[in-house]
Amino acid sequence: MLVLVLGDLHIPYRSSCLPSKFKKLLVPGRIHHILVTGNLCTKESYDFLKSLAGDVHVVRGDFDDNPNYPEQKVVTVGQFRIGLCHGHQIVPWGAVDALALIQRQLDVDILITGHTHKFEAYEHENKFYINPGSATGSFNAIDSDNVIPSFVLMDIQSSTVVTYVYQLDLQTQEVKVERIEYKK
Amino acid sequence: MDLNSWEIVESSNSKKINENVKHQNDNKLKDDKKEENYISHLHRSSSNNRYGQNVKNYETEWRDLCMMISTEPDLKKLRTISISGDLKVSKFRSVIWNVLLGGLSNDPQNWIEERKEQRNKYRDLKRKFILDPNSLRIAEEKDNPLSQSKDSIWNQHFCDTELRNVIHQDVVRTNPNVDYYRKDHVQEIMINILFCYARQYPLTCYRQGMHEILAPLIFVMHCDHQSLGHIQEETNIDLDLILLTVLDPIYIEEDSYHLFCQLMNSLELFYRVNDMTISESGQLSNIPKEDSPKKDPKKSSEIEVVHQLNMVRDKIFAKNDLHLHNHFLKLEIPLALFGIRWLRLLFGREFNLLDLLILWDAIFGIGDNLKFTYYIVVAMLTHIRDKLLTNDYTTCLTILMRYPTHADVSLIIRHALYMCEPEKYKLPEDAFVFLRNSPKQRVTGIPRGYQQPVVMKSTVRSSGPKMPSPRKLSDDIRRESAKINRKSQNDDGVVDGYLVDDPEILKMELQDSYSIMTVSRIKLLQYLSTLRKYIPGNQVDELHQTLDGIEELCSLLKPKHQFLIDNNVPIDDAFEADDDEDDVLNAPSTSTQNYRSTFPVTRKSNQAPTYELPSNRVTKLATQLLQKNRREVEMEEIKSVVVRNESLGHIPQKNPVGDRRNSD
Repeated sequence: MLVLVLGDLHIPYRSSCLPSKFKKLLVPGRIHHILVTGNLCTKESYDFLKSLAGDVHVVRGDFDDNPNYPEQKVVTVGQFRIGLCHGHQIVPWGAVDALALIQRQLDVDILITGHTHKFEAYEHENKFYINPGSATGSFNAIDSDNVIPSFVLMDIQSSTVVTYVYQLDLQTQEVKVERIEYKK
Repeated sequence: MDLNSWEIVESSNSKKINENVKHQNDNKLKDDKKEENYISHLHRSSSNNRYGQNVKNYETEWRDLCMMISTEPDLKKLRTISISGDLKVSKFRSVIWNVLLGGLSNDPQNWIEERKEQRNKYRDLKRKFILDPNSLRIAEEKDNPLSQSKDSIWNQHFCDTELRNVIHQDVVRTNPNVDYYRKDHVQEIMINILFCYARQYPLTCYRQGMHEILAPLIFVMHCDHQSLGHIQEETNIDLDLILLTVLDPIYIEEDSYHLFCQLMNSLELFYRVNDMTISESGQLSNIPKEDSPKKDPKKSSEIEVVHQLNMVRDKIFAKNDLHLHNHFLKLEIPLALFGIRWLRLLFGREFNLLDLLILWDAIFGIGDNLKFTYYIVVAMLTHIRDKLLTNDYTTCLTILMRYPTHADVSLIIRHALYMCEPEKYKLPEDAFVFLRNSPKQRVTGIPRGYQQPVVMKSTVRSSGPKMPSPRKLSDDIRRESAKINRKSQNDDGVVDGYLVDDPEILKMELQDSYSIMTVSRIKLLQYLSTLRKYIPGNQVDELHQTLDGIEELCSLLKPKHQFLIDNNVPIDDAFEADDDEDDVLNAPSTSTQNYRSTFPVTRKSNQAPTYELPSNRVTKLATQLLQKNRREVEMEEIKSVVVRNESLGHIPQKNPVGDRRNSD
């Protein structure tokens, strides 16, 4: 089961579109679910994701046009409960303890948040935390330079999650892929 | 037996066996009670015989088959049996097909080894091609699910999934009437086989239709396995080891794959597309959108099977049924329209399953790269020729697309055999359906051409769908002339006291009608030349098509048998268009009136038709009558034509002069 995790596109306010290298990789028919950490901003971005996979889950970011997205969402894929939240509500932004609080609140195995535009994936107290970063590499409030476009693909097989991290090297325009495994 | 009942028969077979066994037990009980009962004894022995008989027959058949195959290297006898349709009752059809297609050698002693090898080969293929990226994931550190590279297992996996989905779509729709194909494990087997074939032969890949080829093969395998199973239920005696190995039901998938590959060796030709480009990593060449854009559209149509069909048309079809061949040419029906499907599915859609098996027996029996299929195509066409010859384009296509289901398959085979090897087989008596004598023999004053819808059709087609005028015109003329003839016929009957059916009278009638034809033709040609003169070359195509149509009609009006007419028909001088050109030019709006008024006048004033009177008294009278009639005929006809033109509004509207004015 392949689950695409991405967010903070900020199209068209901060970026014009996804990097073309990413677009080439994202073809229909491979991905089963898409989890979006928010800030898609416009409906067009949502429609694009919908064309990749039928099952798209979105939570609301602070710049989303659509006010109807929920603030938090829990999705079950295989044996895993996955919590989804944009993260601008969680202060301090991206702090481990603050995220662990949400994780306990939602009672999830994997917590996915965004907002910091910085890729992160780590285990904390036997739970898995993922921040897919910004898929377009848009600037954020704190660090306006050096934002590396990135997204995450999770391959969920029964009790194992293999996380592939796709990052675009801004100098060479090459896509780097890393692999992180998490067992429940 | 139709498809539905087959399943029933199959299941009832096993039931019958059960009943048989039960019957035995009953009899045994009876025997215990009344040992001296002679009838019961007879009964038992006879049923015991029957009991053993099945097994015995089965074994004998098997031994005969082995003998036949091992003693004759060219399989002559086996082929004859296969062609004659006697395999209908055979319990070893799949084995025979295997031998005929070269899947098993001619020596039954080697079969165990061969089977083993084939099965191992398929298992290896399956292991090689059916991948699971998750199990291999650890070994491939660099791979990732979104990779598009050729070496990526993930990429391969997704391509495989897509291909399997395509195959699945087709497989689940195989023979919806037969329950056997609805079973999940059968569908799974079919998908696996087709998938492995597609991967093993990436140049052919999977193409729609292959599942229909595979389906009967699996079915035949299954039937053979079933009958072996029934025999095994009946007896404890160990059967021949070769037999047990060759027909081991566990290996239905492996054996079917092998048989399928053997068949596809020859069939692959029909599936081949010359300029098909295989997409990246040899995947999914069957999906058109994956193909690279075709550079030469002309070349893309040049697929192998069309080439073959053209050959069939020229070499076999034209030779054996020229009439139908010409009919097809006239209607512009290429064989490829339906032939591609016929050949690719090996007639799977045209016959029901049981008939199909018999047909395949014959095809495999002839062997020789399935060349027999070409003759079958022609035989099938000939079989329905009466329907085809009498119908137009649309109906013909409908018939061909949905071939009549009740077609007699053995007749088709026999006819095809005759065409294939005329020195060996004789033409079945009812192979050709000759048409009833069409009414063209009757003399009704209608030129022959009118009764051939083909000709009419081509006229209409050439003039385009918007231009019914030539056809309508000719219809009118026909109706007109028929009317005239009826009149003259009545007169003829009275004239000399001859019977109405008298040959002389008929001859007169014929002459009469021929004269009418000749006159109308000449007149039409005149008018045509006049029209042509006034229509500038850059006129709209429709107008020229109309003129062409009229000209075609003229050629139709030409009497076929000139010798019947022994009088010279006067030929009018060409109508002087100059006479009224000025008038027309000056008053274009009244040009139609001009036509109407000037024609009869010109003709009357200029012409004094001179006929050579024949010496024969009867014909003389007839000709006199004819002469009298002709005036009326011509008058009436010309009038009617002109009036019709007016009412149709085609020709006058496209008034040449007016148009020229406009163009100026």
